[in-house]
Parts: sequence; structure tokens; C-alpha cells
Amino acid sequence: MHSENRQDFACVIGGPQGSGVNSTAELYAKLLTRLGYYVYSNVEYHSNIKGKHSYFRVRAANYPVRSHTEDIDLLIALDEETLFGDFYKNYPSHWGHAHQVRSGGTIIYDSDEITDADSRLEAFEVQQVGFPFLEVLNEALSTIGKGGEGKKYNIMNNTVAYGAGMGLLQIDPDQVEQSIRDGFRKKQKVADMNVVAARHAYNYIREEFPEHIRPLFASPGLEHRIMIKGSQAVGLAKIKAGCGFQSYYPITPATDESTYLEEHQDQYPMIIMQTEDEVSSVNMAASAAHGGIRASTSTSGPGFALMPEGLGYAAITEAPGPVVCLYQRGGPSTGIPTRTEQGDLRMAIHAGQGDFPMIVFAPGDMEEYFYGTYDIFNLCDQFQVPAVILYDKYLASGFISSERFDTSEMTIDRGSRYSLEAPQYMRYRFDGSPVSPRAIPGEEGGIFWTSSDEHQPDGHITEGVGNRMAMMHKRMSKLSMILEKYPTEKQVAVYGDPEADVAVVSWGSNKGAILDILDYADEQQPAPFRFVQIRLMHPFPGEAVTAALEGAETIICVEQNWSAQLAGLVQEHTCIPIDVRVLKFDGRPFSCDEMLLGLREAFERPRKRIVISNNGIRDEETWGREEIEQLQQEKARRPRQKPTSVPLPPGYNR
Amino acid sequence: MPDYKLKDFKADNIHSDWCPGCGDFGILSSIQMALANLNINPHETAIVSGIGCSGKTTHYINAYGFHTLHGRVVPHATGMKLANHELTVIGIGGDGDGYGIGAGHFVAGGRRNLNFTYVIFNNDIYALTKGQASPTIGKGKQTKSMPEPSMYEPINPVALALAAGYSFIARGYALDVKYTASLIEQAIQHPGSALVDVHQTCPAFNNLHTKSWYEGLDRPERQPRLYKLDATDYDGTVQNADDKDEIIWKKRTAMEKAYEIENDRLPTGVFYQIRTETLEEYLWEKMPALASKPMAEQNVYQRDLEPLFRELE
Repeated sequence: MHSENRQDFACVIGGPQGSGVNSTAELYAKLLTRLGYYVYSNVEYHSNIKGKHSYFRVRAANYPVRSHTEDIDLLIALDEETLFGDFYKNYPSHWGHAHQVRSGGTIIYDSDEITDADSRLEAFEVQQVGFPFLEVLNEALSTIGKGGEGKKYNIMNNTVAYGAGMGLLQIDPDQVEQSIRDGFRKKQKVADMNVVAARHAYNYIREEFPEHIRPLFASPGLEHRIMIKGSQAVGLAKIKAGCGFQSYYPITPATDESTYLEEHQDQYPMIIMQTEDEVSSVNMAASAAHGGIRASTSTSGPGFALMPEGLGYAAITEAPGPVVCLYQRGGPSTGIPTRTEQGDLRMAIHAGQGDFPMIVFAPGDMEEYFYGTYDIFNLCDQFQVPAVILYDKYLASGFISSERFDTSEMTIDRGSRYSLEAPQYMRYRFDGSPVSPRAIPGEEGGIFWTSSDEHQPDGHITEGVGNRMAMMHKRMSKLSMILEKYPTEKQVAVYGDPEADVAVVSWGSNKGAILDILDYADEQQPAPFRFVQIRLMHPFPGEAVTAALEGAETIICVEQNWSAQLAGLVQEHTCIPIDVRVLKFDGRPFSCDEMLLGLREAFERPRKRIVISNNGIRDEETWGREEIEQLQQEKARRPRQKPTSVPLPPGYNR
Repeated sequence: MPDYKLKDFKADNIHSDWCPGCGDFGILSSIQMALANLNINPHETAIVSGIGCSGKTTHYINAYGFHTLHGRVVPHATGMKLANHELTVIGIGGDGDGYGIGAGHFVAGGRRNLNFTYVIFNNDIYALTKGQASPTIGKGKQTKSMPEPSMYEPINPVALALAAGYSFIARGYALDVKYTASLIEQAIQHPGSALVDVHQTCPAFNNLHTKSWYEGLDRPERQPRLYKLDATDYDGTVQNADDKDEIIWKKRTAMEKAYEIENDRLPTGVFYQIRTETLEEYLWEKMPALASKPMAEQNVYQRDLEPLFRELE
């Protein structure tokens, strides 16, 4: 994916959870953003507090990038497992990252902890930068009268590695210092110490390893950009939309958003309730919406599984909301809680007993997380319906550099409201429009009743046939009205050549990798294709999708789930068969390389299912067990001792 | 301000479909009477109910009425009150609704100390589904509606409310309308989460706990099981909320009163009351703007994101 003018640089920072992997990666990503690079990052971690392997990928480029890549230019390893996998375990689960470092790439590691890296990396054409972290830290500490206290402060090992990495990339040390000061802005003393450690490591590395210095390519000089993760983009949208109520029950990976809102509660008043469970969250938000404020709740699959009754209530009582934010993670059940997946589409559109109007929307990038979320608040008010927004862990937790969002054109529409002049107000009057003016408790003359039971125009219960028919029609008509009123280009977007013979259909965070291929794959591009991104999932824009697919000879649907949930939905609503499903359900997001592999395979050898995992096209019946076996063999080859070479997963040739 | 009468809180054009002689009528009148006595504006009142016979109460009261979901009274009442704390919010539910399917919310409702009133219609059975055992019926008890006796020990609502942290806890009796109304009045006036557990007869299904049972007509000495705490020297009100010893003492005596039910005695009245910080007061401290204007009236639609962008820069 390189061309002469396009340059990008992938760094992976890995280590045990609790060792500062995330904070280091955040400092680094923000530093690059400030220096004017395009930055795209994502994080992989375990459902664990301390000890298990986690890593951050940070990709910097001089052109816009919207996905991550497999190869690594700089690997910063805070432990041995990051390099060579977890073969110390009975049941090893991964190979480490050493094999992903490209020829000529650099590995920074602690030579105290990993003493035999030299021999093990011998066959690899990589630059080894192993140095004793503790010694360097001690030297740094001695300059501030804390010499010999390195062990006490070894939590700063990550900063030592960071300083060393920035030295090799020849980043302006003052900027490096500034990034640390910003990162620790609430802890002055901690910042001071970290600055000392980083500066010392920076200079040390440049003296000891001058031959390994590889200045980072020039930045495109972007200015005033922000570094933002998905959960923050959603939080910003809620603040901008005037959301006044947010409920949540702690759950990965949704909680970050609620925490972000709570941190800004003093600037932007919003009632934020940590509830006893998700049943409470959704119901509380539904009544807050009836009570006159824009209301929302954020959760993940297991929490959403408890919410359908609240959505049904909101829909039958025609509440303006709530907006339910569903951050998808790997299911089923508790599943793989810290990994990504797109497995909750069907659950979302089918949530609840009976038929009722609701909006299900799936944004695909940072801008859509912001603008889309904002739009949905307006739609909930305009149509008096609840909504579900499907995000995913991949975008929710990864930092990406972005322009500031443009809020100048954003306008609030709170929908049709009751006014005192209306004679004999009835909340659900049949007057031709499915949406009736709504009163808010406290408003004089606006008293109404409502019920989760079927009700008549004044809100009292009835089981009469005529009323049932009329009320069903009133509520369900909102669906076609939503399709009519919400701009079609926001429901379905087409990228690339809209006349291309091949159509790639996808949703959510796959958008980034697909667009990167569309824009940059150049000679590697398998064939010209049009990319149809479906955002509105319910009501499903069948006609718009049919139009977008018109004339396509081959239709490929790309999803991160086992059952190709969107493909089924497209077929159901358009009667157009999907030829190929490119699927990934190993809990890891599509890298750009994997997406390219999958699409090329789909073009060249079209078949019903193509399954991608670990940067390869895999036989889903056998591959998982094969990999486990090979991990076990790798382990067995070296009983009671560490591996002596770089473990290579199946299919990797170097 | 108009002078509201009980009839002002009666909803027009609606027929009650409760059984003749149902205890619900008594509780409905108590609620309407309490609202009239306090002269609260109907349009500034929100009644939030669950599902079951009790859930239908909202429809019969002239006030904003939300007949919600089974067991979810507390979340709905909480969302409503937080949106607009100037409303008088009354939650209504049955014993199965509040102490069974909604038990988790019931407990959280006590902990939060939101300023709302929760009236629970307690008739020991699930009436609308034709009389199955509810969480308040005793082990081995069998009404005519139950094919087999109840399998579990009962919940003690007053004791549960004490443990959960309700800051006002009372017990009423459906057929003593005025007294129950006075308890509901006190509950509405109390700043904090207030429970009024109302024992109620179900002439259709509960042939054990009938009017004559409550009146003790089955006993040799014909001594009523019910008696009023007001008529004794019992005082469950904590005078000094900073005095931990007093709190422990008052909770203990309230607990003793709660468990008199085991001895076939049913005190009604206020068991426990304490003035502590409400959830709203806590939020006002955090967000002073809300103290003068409820969230629903705040202008939150012209927010400038620039300070947040700067943070992310």
C-alpha cells in the first residue's frame, strides 16, 4: 500500500496490562497528531486488570488513513510475551509480535528481561535495540537525587521505552516532553519524573544506537487537529444534541462514554445515573424522555439483551427516545468482552415482543459517530420513537486524528409539541399524522395518560378492534415516514464507481479498510468496485439499497460476524442475492491487509463464504484447531525452556 | 392557586374495571385525598405505575399518568423526577411488582433517596393473573386461588425498606382510607424516597387476609390484628441525622415493629423517618444550575463544543 508519495509508519506498543501500554500509546498518538500526521490507532486487551498481554497499534501517515495494517515498523515491547508469545502457559494463545516486524523494522526491548533476543532474532532482518531499562531509569533518577530507586519507580519503564523510541525517530525532544506534561497535567510531580526519564532515554539511545536512528518522514503539517476515540465522539454528539440524561450500568466497552460525559458534567450539565442494571437504565431513560429531556443510555451486547422491554414501552407510549447506544463486542453471552464484533445487528432490529417502530442506525467512522448520533436525537423527537445506535469496540476504543467536527450547520428539532390553545388535548389523537403533538408533565392543560397496554387516543386502555387497527397503523406508519424524511444519502452511501460490476456491501467500522483499499490499493486493487455502506438498518432502506446495487454482477458482503447478518437483511428487503460473504468473527477487526485479501479472494474465487482470520483466508472447519495444535507443538519443542527462535504462526513465511 | 378537592383528582370518562369491593378503591381514594389535602396542581403531578390491578390506578387519577411495565415503577419514577424535579412523582405498584420482579429496583430506589413516593398495594397475591402466590404471602399459606401452598418464606417489606435505605417508611391499610391518606400525605411531603406499603384485601382471590381477618374476627378475643403506631408512644423519626447511635436505635425499633407480623400483629403508621440529603440535592451541589431550574427547562441546545475540542487537541 506504499506509493512514492505516500508514507506510513506502524508502531506497536505491547506489554502486560497495567504497565502503561495505553497511556504510552495515547501520548505517542497525541504527539503525532500535534506534529501534524494522520494517525489511526486501535487497542487490543484482555478482560483482566493486571498482567495479561495488551497492545496498541498506532499508524502514522502523511495521507489520510482509516484502518490499521499488519506489518510493524517499530515494536516497543515492555515484556517478552509481546515479542515471542505466551508459550509459558499450558494453553498458549498467541505468537507475539516479533514476526510482524517488517524487514528493516526496529524492535525496542528490555535487555535485562530478554537476554537471548539476539540469537532468536538472528534470522530476522530487524534492528534490535535492546537496552537495560532499569539501568537507564536509575541513571535518569540519579539526576534528580533518586539514584538507585529505579525498582521503586519501574512503573516508568514504559516512559523509558517511549523516550527511546522517540529518540530513534528523531522527534523533537521538546515536543516529546510536552506530550508527557499534557498526559500527566493533573499530576505535576509525576510529569516531572517522567520527563526526566524520557529525556534521559532519548539521549541514551541516540548515543548508544546511532546506527539505528531512522528519522520519521516529514509530517504533512496538519494543524489544529484533535485526537479522538469513538466513545468520545459519541459523547460530544450527546452534549451537542442537548442530551440531559444518561444512564448506564458498567460494561466494556461502553462505559468510557459515560465516564467522559461525567467528567464534563460541571461544564455541560447532564444527569448521569449509574443504575442497578440495564433494565433500569433503559426504563429510566424512557421516562426521562417523556419527562421533557433528551435521554440516552449506553451499553454493550449483554446489557442490551436486558433492554428490549424498555424499547417496546418507549415505542408504544410514543416516547421521544431514548437513544440506546450499543457498543458491540464479541458475543455470544459474555463472549470475548474486550474484543470487537458486529454480531448484534439482528438482536437490535428484533429487540422486543410485537411490532413497533424504532430506529436502528450503524455509523461507520468517527464523523458518523458524531453527526449520526446527533441526527438520531432529532429523529427520536420528530417521530417519537426509541432508537438503537450500533457502534463497535474497534472504533469506540481507538484513537484517531481528525478535523474538528463542524457544528455550524447543526440544528435541533424537538418535534411536534403540545400548545395550551389546543382544545381537549389528547396525546394520541388520530389526525392523519402518525406523530401527535406531545405534552410534557408539568404543562398546564396537557394532562394525558399512557400505557404499555394498547390504548385509545386519550391514553386509556382499550382492546377494541378498530382502535387496535388504527393505533397499529398510526405507530407503524412512522417507519415509512422516517425513510421518507431522513435524507437517503444518510441512510445508504455509495463510494467508488457507482456503475462498477462488483459491489461490496458492508457496515460499521469495516468502512475504513474498504475505503483505504478503494483509494490506495492502486495496482493491488483486485478490480474496480463500488462500495455500498448501509447505515440505516431499521427501517431498512430497501429501495435505496436496491438502487445502489442496480446493475451489479457480483455482490460481496463484508461483516464481522459468523452468520452474515446484514447479507440476510439485504436479501430479505431487496430480494437481491448476495454472492459472496467475507466474514471475520475471531474478535479482531479487519486490518487493511486482511480486507484486501478477503476482497481479492472474493473477486477471484467467488463462493458463498470466505472466512478471514490472522491475516489469512482460513478454512473455518479446520483452521482454529490447526493453529492451536501448532502453538502446542511450538511449546512442546522446547519443554521447560523459553523458545529459542521467533515462533511463526501457520502461513507466515519469512 | 385553586383550592383542589378530591374530585379534581378523579379522571373523567373512565370506568374502573376493578372487582366490586376491591381494596384498590380505598387506596385510590387515599391517594386522591392526599393530593387534594396538599393542594398540589394536577398538571404538576405524575403518577407512574407498574402492571397488575394496581397498575391501572394511574388511569383513574387526574394527573399525568404513566402506566409502565411490570416491576419497573422505580426506574420510571426516577427518570421522570430527574427530568423535572418540580413534579410530584408518585410510584404505584403491587407487591409482586415491587417486591418480586422489581425487587432489585426497589432496593436501588431506597439507596438513591430520590424525592418520590412509592405506594405499594400489598394483597399477598398476583391478582390480575388470577391469584398466584406473591412475595409477601407466608410459606405454607394457600388461598383458594392457589393450587398448592406457597413454597417460600415471605418478604417483610418494612424490613427490606429499612435495609435498602428508604428515608420514610410507613404501612397503611386499604380500608382505612383517611389514615392511609394521611400517611401518603406525609410521604409526599417527606424529602427523600418514601415507601407506603398498603395492606389490601382482594375479595376475588385472597380468602385468607380478608377484612374480617384484619379485624381479628377469627380470633377468640376478636382482637384486631391491625393497630396504629400513632396510638402508642412509638416514635420512628430520627431527630438528629448526624447521630449514628440514634439511627441504629430507631432502625432497630422499627425492625422490631416490622416483625410483629410474625406475632400476628400488624402495626400501621410511620415506622421510620430520617431527613438526609436527597439525590436531587446531591445533584444540585454538583450542578448548581439545576437547583433553580429542572433539567427539562434548561437550555441545553446551544452548547459550544470548542472547549472540548481544545482538550482533545
